[in-house]
Amino acid sequence: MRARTFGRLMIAPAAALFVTVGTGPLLYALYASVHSFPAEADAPPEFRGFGNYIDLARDPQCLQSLSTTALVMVVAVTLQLALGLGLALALHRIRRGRGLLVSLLLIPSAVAPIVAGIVWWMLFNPRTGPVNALLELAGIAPVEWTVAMPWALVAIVVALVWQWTPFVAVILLGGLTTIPPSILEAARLDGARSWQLLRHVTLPHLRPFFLVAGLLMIIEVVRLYEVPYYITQGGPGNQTVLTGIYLFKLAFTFRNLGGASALALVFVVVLSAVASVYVRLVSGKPAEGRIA
Amino acid sequence: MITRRDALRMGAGAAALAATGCGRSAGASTTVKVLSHPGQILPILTHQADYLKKTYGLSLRILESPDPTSYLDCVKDQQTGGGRYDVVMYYPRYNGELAPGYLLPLDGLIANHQARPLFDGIVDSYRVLYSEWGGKTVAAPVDGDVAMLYYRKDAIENPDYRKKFKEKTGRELQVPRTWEEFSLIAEFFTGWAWGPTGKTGYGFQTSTWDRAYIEQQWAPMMASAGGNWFDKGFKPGWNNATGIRALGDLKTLLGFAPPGSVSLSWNQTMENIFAEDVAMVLWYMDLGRLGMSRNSWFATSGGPEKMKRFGYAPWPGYEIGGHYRNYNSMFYGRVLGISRFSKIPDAAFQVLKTVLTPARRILSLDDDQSGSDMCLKGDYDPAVFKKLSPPKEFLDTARGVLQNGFPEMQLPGAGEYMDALQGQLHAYLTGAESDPAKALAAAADRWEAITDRLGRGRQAGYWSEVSDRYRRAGLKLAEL
Repeated sequence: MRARTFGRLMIAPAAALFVTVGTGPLLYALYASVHSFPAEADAPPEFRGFGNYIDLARDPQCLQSLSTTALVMVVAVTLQLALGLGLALALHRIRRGRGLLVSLLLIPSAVAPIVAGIVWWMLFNPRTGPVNALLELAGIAPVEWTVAMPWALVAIVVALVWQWTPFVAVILLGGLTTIPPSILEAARLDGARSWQLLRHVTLPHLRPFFLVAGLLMIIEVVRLYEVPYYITQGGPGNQTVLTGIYLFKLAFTFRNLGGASALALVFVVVLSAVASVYVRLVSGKPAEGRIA
Repeated sequence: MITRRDALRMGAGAAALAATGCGRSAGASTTVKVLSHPGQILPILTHQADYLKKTYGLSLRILESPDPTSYLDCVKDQQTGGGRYDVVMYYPRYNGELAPGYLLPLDGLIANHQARPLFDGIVDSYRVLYSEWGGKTVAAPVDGDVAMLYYRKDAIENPDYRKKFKEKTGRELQVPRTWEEFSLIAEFFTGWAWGPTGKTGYGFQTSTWDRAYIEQQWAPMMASAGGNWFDKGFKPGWNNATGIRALGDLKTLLGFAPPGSVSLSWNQTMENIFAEDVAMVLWYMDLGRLGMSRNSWFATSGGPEKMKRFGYAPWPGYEIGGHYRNYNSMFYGRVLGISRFSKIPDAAFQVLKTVLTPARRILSLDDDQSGSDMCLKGDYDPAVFKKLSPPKEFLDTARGVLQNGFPEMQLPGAGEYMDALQGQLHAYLTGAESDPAKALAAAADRWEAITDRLGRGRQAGYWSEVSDRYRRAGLKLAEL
């Protein structure tokens, strides 16, 4: 058997699996996105061309969910990356017990999202939650966290930052450990101060790690469902109905499989565009280690 | 006297039972797969498990699924060819989606099993409004939820407060008949310590302010104001002065509820009404049926002692142009249906029959851990309760308010229609939208889009059938 044939045979099971579980649903989503599915259980799908896409473009709820998701994504991912970097730098200085600390810090990201949602809903509960109790101790009036804007969005962002910042920190910590000490030493000998080291040595080296962490966080935010749904149910009104929630509702509460498929496909395109912009911003060629 | 027709029916029923094993003695092994809501709803079925096993050789395999996934589970079962469930529990709002294609019409089974008297034993409102679709019987109500007004007698009937109220408003302090009176009384009891807690008292609380359920409070008020789900042209029948008035009044009433109420859900409002002095509460049957029990979920909040202070009445209404209408929320009852894919429909029907048999039914009704409320005509007799002790006055009121029970909207797409409404009602009540007319107009736009997508003619046809049932149930809703 020729090596090429053998190689093809070896990858055939994986390729078949990919086609089945990857391409199959994608093709079905394409089919569903141009059909409507009547609400009655026994009614067959009806072809409606681009009707589902046109409906989405006219649907104020859909447009609002996209803009709210974009806002949450920008704020939450920025905070996760910034705080994650700070945490990673702090961890990098610790020599003893770092492994244990890292393990403990990863606990939030291992918590099931629905559990995280319930916990944060309890914490932010306007009447019985400890967050308002602390505010009252500080002489600040209680806040209707779950039913008033912008506090409902703040509550969601806080929950996301709590859950995923340590995970970002661990990724960046991995990057910090790959910086050769000799480069840092050389920079110091050239007179670089801490801020200059961070700006011109550490951050350029961390670019690929920011790229991975940022992309993972963007994906995490756009597919959000449990945490925001449990904290606010999408309220007040529809103001915190993120795209993940709206997609779920379209598909499973409204049984509008055509609309849900169309939105999912549109979202793949939008997300790809966002990701490519992010990659372009972050993954430029690392700057020369120019030190003033 | 048994006629020949009766004898033939009995023979057919016996043959059907024999064919499916229902008539066999213990030891036979027919398993009936039942989709059920979890938690406090399970006693509806678990109380019957041993009996069904011993008497008919039927084993219940209960598969729990909460709302809304239970409805989705039915849809998934239908779309994958069926067979996962024989009996399914769901909210009647999904009748319009599940009856065509998934639910087995029960009329043939009712005839074969001579079960008509059992179905006739269901309170008419539930039987007509929640168990039929397209002229056929498709479900059996097993949990009758309807809300009523629970008012504090130590507030409304206190002679000093009556005098004070008269001086302040020029009116008599009595159980309110209209929402206008209700609002005056709620305002009167808000902001001062009038009750035994010694704390600042409040005028009003409802069962939940959750976004996901808020329409249950507004919709009966809208109907009382002269609105309806749809008008004759199949446009939303509430995007007008009736809906705006109801929504405006509800927001006013929110101001007379304890602080932070707008973020409270079921359990929290329950704790709220016992922990605070609240003069008037709109709640479902559980409160009156279980409130006096020392073992129910109300007991930890002090229910047994505090329930003695409550009196019972229908929800208020609106008097418009000399015409008085009042409706009480009939949302969130539960029904059982049979999957048309079931291979053992007779055995499955035996489960429904058993649950509807008064002597069996009372076991889950008279259970302090059960959330199943009255839905059979015999359920309102205090004598049938052996463990619980709901007051006769409560049971009489519960039966009375059903005459004006306002039902869930049951068209296909009900979940989406309700979500559109809930979002806008919640937006106005939480202050995210300041204009009730704008909020309702936005919801109406979405209703129109939903209707267009699902087929205006088809939806209008269903609505015509639903409206006819409203009339048969005696509901005198405005026909706009």
